[in-house]
Amino acid sequence: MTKVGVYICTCKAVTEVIDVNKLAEDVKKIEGVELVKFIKSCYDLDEIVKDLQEKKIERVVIAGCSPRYVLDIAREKITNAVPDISPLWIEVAPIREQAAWAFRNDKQRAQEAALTYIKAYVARVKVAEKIPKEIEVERVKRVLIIGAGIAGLTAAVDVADMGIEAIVVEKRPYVGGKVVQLARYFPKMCPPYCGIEFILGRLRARANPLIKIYTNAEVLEVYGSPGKFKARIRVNPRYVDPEKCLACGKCSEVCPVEVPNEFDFGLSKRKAIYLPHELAWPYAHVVDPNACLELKNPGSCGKCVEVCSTGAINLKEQPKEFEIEVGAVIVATGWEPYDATKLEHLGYGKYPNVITNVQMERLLAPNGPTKGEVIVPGLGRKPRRIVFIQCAGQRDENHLPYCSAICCGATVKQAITIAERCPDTQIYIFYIDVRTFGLYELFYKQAGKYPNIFFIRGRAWKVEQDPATGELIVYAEDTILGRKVSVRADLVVLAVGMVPSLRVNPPSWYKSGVGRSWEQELLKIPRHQYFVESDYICFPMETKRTGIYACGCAMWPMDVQTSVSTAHAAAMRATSIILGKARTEYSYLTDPNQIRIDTIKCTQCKRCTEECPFDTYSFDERGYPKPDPLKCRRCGICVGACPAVALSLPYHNTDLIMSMIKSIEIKSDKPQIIVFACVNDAYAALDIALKKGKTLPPEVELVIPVPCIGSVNMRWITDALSLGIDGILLMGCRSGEATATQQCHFIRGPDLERTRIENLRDTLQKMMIEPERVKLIEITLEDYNIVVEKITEFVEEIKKMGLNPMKQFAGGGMEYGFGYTF
Amino acid sequence: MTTEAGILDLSKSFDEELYNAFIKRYGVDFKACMQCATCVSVCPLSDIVPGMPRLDMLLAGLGLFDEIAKRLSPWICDQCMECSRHCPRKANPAKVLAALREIMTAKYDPTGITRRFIIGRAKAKTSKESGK
Repeated sequence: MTKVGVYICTCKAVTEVIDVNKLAEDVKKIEGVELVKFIKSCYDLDEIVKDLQEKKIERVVIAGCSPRYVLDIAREKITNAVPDISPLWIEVAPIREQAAWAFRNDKQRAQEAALTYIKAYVARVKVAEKIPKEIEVERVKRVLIIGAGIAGLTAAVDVADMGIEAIVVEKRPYVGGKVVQLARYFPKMCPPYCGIEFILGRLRARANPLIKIYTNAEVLEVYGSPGKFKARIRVNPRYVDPEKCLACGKCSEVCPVEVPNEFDFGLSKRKAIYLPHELAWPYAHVVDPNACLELKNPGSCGKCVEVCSTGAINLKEQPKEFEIEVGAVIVATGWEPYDATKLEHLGYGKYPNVITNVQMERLLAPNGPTKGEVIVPGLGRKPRRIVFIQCAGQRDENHLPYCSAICCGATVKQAITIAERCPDTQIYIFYIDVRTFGLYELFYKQAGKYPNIFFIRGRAWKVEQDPATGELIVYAEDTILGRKVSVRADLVVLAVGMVPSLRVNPPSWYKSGVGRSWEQELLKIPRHQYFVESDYICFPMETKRTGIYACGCAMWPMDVQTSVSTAHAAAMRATSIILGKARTEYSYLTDPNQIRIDTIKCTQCKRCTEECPFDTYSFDERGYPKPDPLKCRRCGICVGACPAVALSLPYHNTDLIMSMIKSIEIKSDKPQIIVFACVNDAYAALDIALKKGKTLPPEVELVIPVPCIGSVNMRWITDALSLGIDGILLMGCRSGEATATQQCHFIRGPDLERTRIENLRDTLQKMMIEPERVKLIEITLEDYNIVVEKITEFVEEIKKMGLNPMKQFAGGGMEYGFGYTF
Repeated sequence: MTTEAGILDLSKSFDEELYNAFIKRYGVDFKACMQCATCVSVCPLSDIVPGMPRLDMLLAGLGLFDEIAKRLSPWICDQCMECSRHCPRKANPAKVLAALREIMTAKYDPTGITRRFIIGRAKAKTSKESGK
């Protein structure tokens, strides 16, 4: 027999409405209540600690304010003082909000409600189980960073700073990614390589035992659980030993093969053995296996091997594969420019003097094909007039429906650079909107003041070549002037947008993963345009997979400084999951609230694997779902999904909720309503509404907080209805795609719940219960002005429907499940 | 100058001589104009000449002085300075209209005297040689 102690808060807000002495008398009669005491305020916990230490009681119900205010403090303080008590044995019954305030004009009803709440929480606390405060999980102190661009390297510095090993895997033979291909950073107009040099300096990459950078390498597979993922990595042969290579360039001189140089986006040629660029790190040559004659046909060439003075070249090198354990993964795969050949109307690929902005970047770079001089590739001279076409594919449903965010800034940067280097060249910029956000506005204003830069508001729709002069003619409508205009130019630059690399070159690890693949999980979400899925505002670095974080342009198009910021943030998250303790919502790994499955009840229907937003489930050898507690984020959606109620979380399960519902005294003469409220939004909104003076209709019996509205099981609803509850209202956050992602922090809680309620209609009709007795409404935190009206509206609907026909069988001893399967 | 189908060719209509003279004489600050049209809203004369002085700012910024010649705004501007006071980018539209009056006078003065003062002798000569 568990001994429950009830502590009634006697603050003024409660005593004004409720007769606490009478309440205490009534509470003493509840089964299991050993002790009823008054406390001055909900934060007055000393007496509770004393009673627990003296073993007078085992479980605690504090009847006072909303659990939103006191529950965490009470659990923390009490479990610190009395370590052998489970945090779940302490509950807070919100008699101030839900009784005293909710019925402030009806003292009798308030008195009843206070008793109902205390009864419900006493029942709940009796069935709560013992869990430790936190659990120990073995976590590998190593982070895998995919991509060694500016974001990946920055994350590596941060991770190593925290004393955690950073493994950086880069597909290219050099580090620095897209940044080293740029001519200048805006708005500082400094050389980008400086930034990479700086980071490499900070990394001390060659000597630092905590850093390992693999260039020319790829991740083949990532599987396992957060804290101990396994990654399979292949290091492709470079064919040149970077430690022996002096980068003297003799091998390139003798190499007979020439191919377009991808570093210059095809504006120049390189040999099959080449130095990626003049400032490459590692500073060593590399052999392109797709171009090298010797590698294709052994014995046919091999000139480079003969000429190399240090014997660095080994064309027989083989790829190396190895597996490594990592605690977390950071995806920093970056971006690729949009394929401009798809923009037929703008003449890319048709006219050689139509280039993209990334090619322009190479033309302006000091290590580019023209050594930084602005020379039209097809003409071999400086251009007289250059046209920049903004939004070349962006904000276009046929190409990229999003704004690429940086192209306006990049074009302004390029225009200023050209205007400085060639004062006689006229630069026309066709734009839809100049989106130089934040302080970049000053940069845009600065560009406008150059006498040879002209901004024209209009989307260029055609690029043609004048057959007589060979000039390119760009057509558009100047929407400010209200006239069609054209500009003749020697060079047309298309400001193409950023596309996530993951979409352009799907990597091998894309298909791997336990349960659902990364492809399904992270990327195949059309509304994100294949950028990595995350909650854009609340936890942007986190993907749907716990332990896997994203940063840089893998998340969305961004400039260099944002890339660096996101890399810091992702490193923070990755290290916190490796080092963190269960003190915040984020430390999922050590949270003792672990999901459990009752294989006796489980029917192997696989609903949980379908509905879990975070891919927690795989299957064991008998075909039962096997939850991975390390991936789980404790949303409880699977608890709500399971038709056989086989799943439970210690802090949210059928026993807890049903004990609360069954504690309600069923009245045969008046309607009774239960409200389930998402603790994050609707419950808080209701708290605020009641605090602001609103009152609830007397029919509302119990408001039950749930971690997500998607965690409400249909079986609880049918059971509650069969017990004689007249109406059940569910309040969750807003679903739909009005913004980039839904409001639900667990991705699609309200959507899942809506589908379940839709599917429940048939069952309810079979039970001879109106399906309208169950309703899901969208209440967010800002809806505190309308939440009570919405509840009243529902109560009116229920009143019109009349009493639940099941009321006559009330208390008929129906255990979980009405016997229907659905 | 308009080409076929009524399309305004910005590169052909660009009056390099007047544009350079304008920039040299009055500076580049007016090019900070972002066409927000605050000036039109506050200009007491903008119901007589639509888009005054915003369109004049735009046309001057693009060097389309032939188009400005078709407009009344440089001539009727009272220099009440309301637009300049309200301009969010301090592009000084009133000064531009005054400047355009000077430039237009220089362009059309049959004696050529104003041209010498405003556009400068050397420029005038080149222009004569090129047959303009």
